[in-house]
Amino acid sequence: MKKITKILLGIPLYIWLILFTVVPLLMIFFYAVFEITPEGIHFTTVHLTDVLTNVDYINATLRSIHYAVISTVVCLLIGYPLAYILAKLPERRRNFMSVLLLLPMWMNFLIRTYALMSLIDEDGVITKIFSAMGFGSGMLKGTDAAIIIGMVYNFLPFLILPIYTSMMKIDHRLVEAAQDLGGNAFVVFRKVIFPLTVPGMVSGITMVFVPCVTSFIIPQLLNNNAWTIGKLIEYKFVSGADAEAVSPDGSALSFFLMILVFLCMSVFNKIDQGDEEGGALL
Amino acid sequence: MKKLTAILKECYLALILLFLYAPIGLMIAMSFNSGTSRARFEGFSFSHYKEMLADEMMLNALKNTLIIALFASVVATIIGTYAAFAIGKMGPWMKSSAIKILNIPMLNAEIVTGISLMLFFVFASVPLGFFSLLIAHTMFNVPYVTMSVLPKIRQLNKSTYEAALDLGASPLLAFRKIVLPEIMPGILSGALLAFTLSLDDFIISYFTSGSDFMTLSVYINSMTKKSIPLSVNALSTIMFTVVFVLLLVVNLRKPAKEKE
Amino acid sequence: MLKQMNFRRIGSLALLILLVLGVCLTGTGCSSKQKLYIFNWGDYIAPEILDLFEAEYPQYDVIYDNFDTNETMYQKLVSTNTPYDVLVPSDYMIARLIQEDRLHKIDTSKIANYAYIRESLKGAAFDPNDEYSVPYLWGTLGIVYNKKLVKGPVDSWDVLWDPQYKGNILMMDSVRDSMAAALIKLGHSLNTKDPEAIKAAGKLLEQQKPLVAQYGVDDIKEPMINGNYALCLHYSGDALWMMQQNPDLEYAIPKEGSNVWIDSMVIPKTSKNYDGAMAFIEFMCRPEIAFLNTDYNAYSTPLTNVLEMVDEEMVNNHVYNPSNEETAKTEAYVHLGDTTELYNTAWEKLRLSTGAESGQIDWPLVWLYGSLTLIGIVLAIASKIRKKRLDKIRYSD
Repeated sequence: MKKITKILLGIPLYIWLILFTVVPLLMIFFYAVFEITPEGIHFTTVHLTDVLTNVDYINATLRSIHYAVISTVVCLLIGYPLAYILAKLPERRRNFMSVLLLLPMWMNFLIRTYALMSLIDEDGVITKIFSAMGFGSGMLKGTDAAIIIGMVYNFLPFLILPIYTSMMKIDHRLVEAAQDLGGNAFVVFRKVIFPLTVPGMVSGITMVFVPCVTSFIIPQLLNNNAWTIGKLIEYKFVSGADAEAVSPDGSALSFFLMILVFLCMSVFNKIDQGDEEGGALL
Repeated sequence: MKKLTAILKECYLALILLFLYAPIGLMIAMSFNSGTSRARFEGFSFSHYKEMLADEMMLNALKNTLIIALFASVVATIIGTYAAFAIGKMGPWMKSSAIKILNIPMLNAEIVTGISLMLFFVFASVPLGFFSLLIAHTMFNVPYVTMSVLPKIRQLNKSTYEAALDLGASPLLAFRKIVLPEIMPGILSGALLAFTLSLDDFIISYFTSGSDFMTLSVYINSMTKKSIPLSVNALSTIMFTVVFVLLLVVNLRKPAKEKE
Repeated sequence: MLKQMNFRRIGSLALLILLVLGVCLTGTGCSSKQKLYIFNWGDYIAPEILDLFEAEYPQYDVIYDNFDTNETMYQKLVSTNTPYDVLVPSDYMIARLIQEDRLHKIDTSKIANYAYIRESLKGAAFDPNDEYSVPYLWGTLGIVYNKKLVKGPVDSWDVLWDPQYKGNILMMDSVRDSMAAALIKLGHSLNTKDPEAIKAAGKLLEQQKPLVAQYGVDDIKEPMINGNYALCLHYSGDALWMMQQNPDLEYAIPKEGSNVWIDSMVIPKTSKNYDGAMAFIEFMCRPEIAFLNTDYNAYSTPLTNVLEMVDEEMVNNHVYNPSNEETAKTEAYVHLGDTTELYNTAWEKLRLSTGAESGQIDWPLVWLYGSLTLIGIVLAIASKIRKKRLDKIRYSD
């Protein structure tokens, strides 16, 4: 009897999950491999192979990975020291600074990107400064650097936060013990602080990398000549010359993007787990 | 030497803050521009704020955003809390598979989630509008609620609930008096998270909204195809200021309270 | 961050949000009015017109949305299930919609001012019996140029391929319009169905790509006004509007020929409010309303009695009211049926091409990330082996 109520309790949840999470994802696959014509539905792998062999699509995917990797590395290089500095501030100042750092996240990311665009477009302040300094026209908009800046600007707090949290969690006695055992600042950092912040780093990297690799609005606003896989999907479904709501090419692209994302996720997860075990060994 | 590193640290913090706030600062400054250019400041005026108040479509989009965020977060809180209970009672195999599926919208790329929902709505011939947006937002909000309620359920002390039953309370009363207060913090923070996520969402809304029910970010995106009027700056400034003041007040008040 | 928030913060935030919501809801209120969905080009209506319409027809609640190309309009119409009541597409798109049986007929006898529609715009190829469409505005396609930045006369499409304007050219992110420029330059009709000609035009646009600073529609107008670029492909009305903002700008219809287009109001079969749609179309054709619209948009009005109300200066303006010589070689777009796909493929290829070495996989990136992945795998395996060894040591203790 009790078992039956347990199962009954779970059924609506499964219906919800299957209807609104699993079925929509299957739809992507469905529209990628089935063609619906007035004569009926038939199976075809033409769109999958088309997408896989289209040089421009491959390049767009490579560019997306490229932008995402660079942005993530830049975020890490900027964000890690920042989290470190932040964690060492006196408490009151630390709270204040962390609020200040996170505050921009409360603004819609489209508005943030648009605000950034106003700085670097033809009449932007930064453009004016750069051209006065003699960097040609000085315009960043329309360059790859603009995309990187846009991504770092939007996602930096996502990386700082988990690293900062994991730094705050570090048991101070560990650091003191390491110092007492004669480790200098660098050794303490390398042997204690750094390994203990790896899980935070990994979750931060995931939180930055995935939105970067899939973003379409940042390249669209900041460098409309650059193509990323996200922008390609948007083009296929909404804004392109032959856009359609059930675009088979777009579905195939989304399908591959999904695989790419989950592949990245599982890799990051593996690193995370592996290092936690490594941390326990310490 | 120590002083030097301290100064360097301060400079570093200041630089990052400058990087994060310069675009926002400029945007706010330009909202007071009396001209229409986004680049040249021609004089101080509130004209764009007046424009904003007269722009029915923009206010409508703002209203839609708030409505969707409110409805979606309420519905998601109910479903998400229920899901947390259901998962808490499940056997290990069912539990892990449910959590895995539940996690998909959190882990997946937003654009893929958006596209999948759009395809689903087109397939089911659900018109893209209020209803499709509500489903989409609820769908991506549910896991966040569940994930913030689930730990509280795990911490629940079963014996107090059973004690209440033994003392003659009906299951409903026992739930209301014993269980609900325990998990309330989880529910509330989940609801708030859902509300903000919904408020902030652009990508999923972009693919699942239609002409008759646009959220603010979708509306602003349609403006980026033309030259965006400065009234958008004015609206963003107001929204930002509200959050800014609120967070600062709450944050500055907290340490004072703790001292008491 | 949110999870760390304490109760009081949550409470006050929630309170504030409810407050804002309450104010918003009481401010606008819910209405039981009939909805009227209008779907028009971006920035293509005098803003006060909608208010005037709603004041006269309080029973209708106008829901107004924009599109930026005919193709996006088509995508939204077909796929979103939105019950649009009035659309304002261009000629060739109307032909497509008629062919696909997506439009209601319009009884023009119910439109008082219809008799004043310019004769030359009646019986157009896309709607020979004037059964489905009522002209909204019309204009031409041409080159907007900045007199300060361009040397010599602009009278040919060749100027858009002139290397001295590298990085100074803005093109339209609209298939038919940009392809038209290339096709005419090659001596073809802008409606050609010849696959070779279409391919060649695509190639020509790819050659031009390094010179182009940006592809856009409404978003390229502001930088042009600000004098940041020398040349821009655009429609006549937007050209005139830009010229009004910046006197250095001028507009030319190239001598090789160009496109003359008509945007017309149509009622799609998605409409659930036919009467409202008819009322709107009738309203837009009223002289005083049509005047407001042509005055705001700077596009030419199809109504002869409205043209009489327009400033003489405007009527004499060659952009607003082009002379017969200027339009001698212009041609309207026709719907191309299956050939549209060839245009779209050529266009997508151009938009996606990465410049000089197009058609080539970006090998450096493949090597870079390929080798990085490989190193990652090797390191992962190495660490696994190391861990196993450490496990052995630990357990042997």
